[in-house]
Amino acid sequence: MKIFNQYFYLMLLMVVCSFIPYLMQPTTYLSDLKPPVSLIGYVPKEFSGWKVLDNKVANIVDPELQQSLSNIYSETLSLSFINDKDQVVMLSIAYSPAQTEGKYIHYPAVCYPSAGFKIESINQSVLKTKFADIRIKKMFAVANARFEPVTYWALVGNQVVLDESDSKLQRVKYGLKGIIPDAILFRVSTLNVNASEGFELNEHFINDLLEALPPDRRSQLIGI
Amino acid sequence: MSSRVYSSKFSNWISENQPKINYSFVLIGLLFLFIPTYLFLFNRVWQTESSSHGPLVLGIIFYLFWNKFDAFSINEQYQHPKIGYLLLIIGLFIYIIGRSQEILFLYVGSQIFILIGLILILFGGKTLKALWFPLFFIFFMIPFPAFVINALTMPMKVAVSIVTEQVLYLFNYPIAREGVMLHIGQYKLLVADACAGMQTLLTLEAIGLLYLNLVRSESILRNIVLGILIIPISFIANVLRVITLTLITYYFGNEAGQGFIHGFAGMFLFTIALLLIFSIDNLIQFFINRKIKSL
Repeated sequence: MKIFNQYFYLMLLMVVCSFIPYLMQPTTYLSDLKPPVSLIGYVPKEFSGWKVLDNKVANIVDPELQQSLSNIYSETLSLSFINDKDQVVMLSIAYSPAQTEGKYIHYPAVCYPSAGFKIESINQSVLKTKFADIRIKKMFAVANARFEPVTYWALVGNQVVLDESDSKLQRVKYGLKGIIPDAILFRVSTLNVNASEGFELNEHFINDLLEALPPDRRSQLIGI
Repeated sequence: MSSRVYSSKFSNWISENQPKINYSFVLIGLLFLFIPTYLFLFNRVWQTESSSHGPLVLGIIFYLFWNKFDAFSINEQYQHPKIGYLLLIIGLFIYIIGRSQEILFLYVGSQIFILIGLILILFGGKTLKALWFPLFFIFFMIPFPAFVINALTMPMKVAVSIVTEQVLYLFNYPIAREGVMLHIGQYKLLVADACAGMQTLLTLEAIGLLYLNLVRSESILRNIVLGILIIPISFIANVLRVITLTLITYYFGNEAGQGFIHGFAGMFLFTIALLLIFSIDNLIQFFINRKIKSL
């Protein structure tokens, strides 16, 4: 015969708990806290024997995929480079200003199979560069007559991540500090039937690129 | 003088309506917790193809609870506040973390802890037992983390592609397969994530289990066998769908294969799968009955 009985207090408990997440939700965008990232001209067109390759071959991309990609990434950069030995690598950098539901970056390990590739092998490894040791993923993807060793890593905020659980963990770490992190996906690949040769070329290119970049962009890409 | 009359009328009203008031309190609490959850699910998660079974499962759960409403009137001797509060607090904690950090799995899964906790605090063990099925069903609504879905979808896609290729090859069609890409005639078809049949499988399992619960199947054997058989049935139905669409593309071209036939074929095969499930259930019943008779 009371109003303030067990049921009332349970209701109070639940109502209060329904408001706490609002207080804890991250509201600060990491991208607002630093200078805006623009990928145009991000990478020098010529360095260490590498030169941008102007190939007019358009990538046939499924329009639905294109749409979902533009939802996630505000900026993408896709370039091919050729060196004096006529070896070609493909560079792809994508930037997502806010990692929230629906905008989580897609990893090549998921994207490539969805596009019809078969993953012959995929391993985690460490790339030793002059500047830092970077955790990388090495994925050998095959489709039709296309053999593509892909070397990639991603960054959530300034932490290197290699797959969805990695990035979820980092996202939550930022979230508990009230920050919504941004993300970068960095991918280098080449066409080579010989996987280890291809990976070596990728790593060679990455090293050359990191040396040629100004220090601020370099640390942005390797997470220092 | 008049304020005492009013206050005694008020306290009479309270005594008369105490149970309703009590349950309203709890209901209000639950609404505050879960309306944001479901708004989020509806607007952000259930719009995608990979989670389209959500609203259906939610509808089924409401129906199941409504169906079992008399469970709340079971005469209970003891409540279990210690376990109940423990589960409730755990559930609320998971809810807060999940909701503030957008971890869907936790956010939606916390419901189970919270509901079980509340039932144990306010009702009792018998009520919980009576409501085990609707509570268990909530599992089907929980969005699994992306990497779990990916890990399961990939082998399913490959299996579907392999079987499709083998079957069509058997019938002398010019078909070749590369990973999950099918080449038939001059056409190239990609077996997409949606074709893996993950959604179909979950929806069929949900409906299959619902069906078993509604017909009050007593035999545990029947329940388990059917629950397991739904998996190959769903797989077969899905393979048939991919084969059908491949053949349509082969004979009528890409436009036909990707057009409205796509959705239509999906629904058609889904219906066939359901009918298969019911027929197989009858078959199982037949065998079980025969076994019982011969004993």
